[in-house]
Amino acid sequence: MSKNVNAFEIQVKNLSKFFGDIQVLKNINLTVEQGKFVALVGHSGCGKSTLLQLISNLETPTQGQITLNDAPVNKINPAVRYLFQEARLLPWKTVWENVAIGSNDRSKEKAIRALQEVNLDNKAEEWPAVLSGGQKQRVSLARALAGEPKLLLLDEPLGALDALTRINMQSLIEKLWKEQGFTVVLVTHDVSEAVYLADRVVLIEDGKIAMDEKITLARPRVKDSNFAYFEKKILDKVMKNDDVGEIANEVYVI
Amino acid sequence: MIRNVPHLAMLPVILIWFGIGETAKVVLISLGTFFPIYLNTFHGIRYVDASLIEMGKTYGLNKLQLFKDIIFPGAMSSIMIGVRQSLGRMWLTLIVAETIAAKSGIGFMATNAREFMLMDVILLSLIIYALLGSISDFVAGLIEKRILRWHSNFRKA
Repeated sequence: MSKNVNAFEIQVKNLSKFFGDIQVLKNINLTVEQGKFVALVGHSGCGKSTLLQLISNLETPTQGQITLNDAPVNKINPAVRYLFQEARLLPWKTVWENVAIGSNDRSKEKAIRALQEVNLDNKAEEWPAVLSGGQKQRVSLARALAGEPKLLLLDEPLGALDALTRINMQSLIEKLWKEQGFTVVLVTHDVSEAVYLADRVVLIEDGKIAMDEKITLARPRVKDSNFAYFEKKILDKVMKNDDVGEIANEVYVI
Repeated sequence: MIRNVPHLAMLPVILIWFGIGETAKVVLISLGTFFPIYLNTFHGIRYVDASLIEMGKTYGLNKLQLFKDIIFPGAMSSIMIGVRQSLGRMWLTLIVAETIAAKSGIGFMATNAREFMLMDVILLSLIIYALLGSISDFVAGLIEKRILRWHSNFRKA
């Protein structure tokens, strides 16, 4: 992997976030080294997306601090790109115009180059409405790449895609990450996806970090027994504090 | 509250303020066409997809760019509905204004012809109105098609 010295290192110190009276994040401490791929997993509502929004400055922390390469996060940083669960393309702009929003000078050249990286340069002049779901998500990935990001924040960007498209997107994201060397934080509730992509899987539970597991498998990863070991280990931890067991033990009378 | 007064009911007031002539017509038509466009534009802007605006913010668009790239195009289909409604109201108001308070114009011609029982002139003015209405609606349709060409409903199959 080519080491990109311009990738961001994220440091989260004593971070707490309240929405009204509800504490969503409780004193989080987390360091993500430059160029690493970290996955945040957890149940919905556990605060993982909130953490992502705080890193991108879409939300401001109640307490604590986040720094990117030692600079505190206090405004939208153009080197940080956010990929949403939906593609969020502007329907009134053509595909390349959408991608151009990602680069600061809006050049068509850069947009086309970014589209080439996701193999969609042949759709540059189309309207987003004619694209399939997977293609739209690839365009939004190209839009994120057009600005040459140092940090990519992925908020379940593959959640709404069908299984086959997901596999393609996963390898595409892995390939681009290897080539460009930016730091990635991926939020997902698919443990298998997290183990497949990430250097490190962080489990967030009830606003706290419940587990921090380094995935030591070699890339490209194959779903063998070692893979299954990590997957099971994390999944067991995710499900442990659940009342799944209780439900199973209940006696149903029909 | 002004919105709830039928604009044609304002005719006596406008006649007193502006007298019989072009100014009164223009004022009355402005009054009649303003609110449909205003209300639809307001509605359009309010219902612009918030997730797109959030996207724009994370991509560092400033206020002007947010308006130009996201809010205005997002409200455009509603604005065009307002424009087309207003076009209809525009002709209606013009006819009433010209019939009651004018010294010239098609409506004046028709009213005059009625006094002399000139059926052909009355018919002519009806045909002119029909043509003007159709043409303006056709042009508005073309503009709408052009501006909203990204929208799947307006694209040719």
